[in-house]
Amino acid sequence: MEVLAKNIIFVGGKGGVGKSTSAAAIAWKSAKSGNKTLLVSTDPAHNLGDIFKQSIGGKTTWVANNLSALEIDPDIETEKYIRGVKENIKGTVQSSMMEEVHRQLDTAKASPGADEAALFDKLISIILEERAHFDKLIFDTAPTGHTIRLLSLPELMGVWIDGLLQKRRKTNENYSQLLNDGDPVEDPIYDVLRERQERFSKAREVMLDGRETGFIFVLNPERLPILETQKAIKLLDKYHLHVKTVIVNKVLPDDADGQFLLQRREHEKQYVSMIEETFQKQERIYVPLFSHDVTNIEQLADFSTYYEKG
Amino acid sequence: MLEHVKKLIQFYDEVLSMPHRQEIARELRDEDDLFLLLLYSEMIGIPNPIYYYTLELYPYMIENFHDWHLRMGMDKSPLTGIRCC
Repeated sequence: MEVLAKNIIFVGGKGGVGKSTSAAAIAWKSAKSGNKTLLVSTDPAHNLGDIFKQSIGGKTTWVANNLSALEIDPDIETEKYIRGVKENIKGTVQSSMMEEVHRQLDTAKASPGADEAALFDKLISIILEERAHFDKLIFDTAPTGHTIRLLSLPELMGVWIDGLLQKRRKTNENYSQLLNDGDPVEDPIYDVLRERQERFSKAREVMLDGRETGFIFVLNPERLPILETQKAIKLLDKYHLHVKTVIVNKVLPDDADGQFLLQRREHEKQYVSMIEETFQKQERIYVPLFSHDVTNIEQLADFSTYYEKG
Repeated sequence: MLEHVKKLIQFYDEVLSMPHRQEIARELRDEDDLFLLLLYSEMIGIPNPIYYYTLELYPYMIENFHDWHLRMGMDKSPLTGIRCC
């Protein structure tokens, strides 16, 4: 699996196809081969803790040799952000207004989009800062829609902030030329926005760098996951994010016996050929359906052996 | 004598540019207002993808906030939290 050589890997796909298990297996494999690995879940419905049978939560937690995991918690992140803003305000606002401002900021925590923005912010700081402490970052993302949104945010926000900055720059230039005898005006608002923009564009660069970052979609040999994955890959292509690998999970194994499974496999054949047809450009990795859930490290290790093919 | 003339010319120049300076200041203030409106468009129901990140700009605009929302034609502060009026 070529994609395993990348330093940052995003694992996406429809709900229930086995994203978390696949991401955990990839992370496990990477840690086994001596890379210091961080497995990050961005899905609000976190499963990593269940797979590793330990609570993980919003702080980077040691799971096994060379392997740490983290389940991003938007609440913790918004809390942190708002606290930072409050700290900054201390020096600038009259004490009489302080309480009002704090109240305002606390309501902002619950504003629509706050969770998403906080999650995105954490994702960026992992990509920009945590990368220094790990060899590999594996992201277990939310169901397809969220993932596409998350991956397209840098572009959207970048465009928005660019527009604001341009406007602000123009005004500042006019101020300095027309009313300030050519001396530049100090504008903290511009500086803060610029810092934001730089972070977004740096993160975007890393995500778009094909040598650095890889995208994997997980699907099952069934009609809906195939169609959804096809759409998702097309959409991500538009954002210049190219999915080069698909993991086809829960394929009926050859030794599955009985009349019922025989019929089922006949059906599945159509879907497998549909997958071969649809995802010609992607590397396809087939993982069989197991007779049991993957619930411990040994099974995870077993699961990850299928990534060695191809 | 030359000094006098110079002073006179300078004075004349200032008198001429006074109204212009005011006009320019007003224009630029309008631009500032529009900028704030773009930042805080959520308050009047226009979605803003970076609303969350505008919170960190609070410290720098809070002092001017009152005058701004009056100019924008909102008699009462649109921010429930900031009751400046």
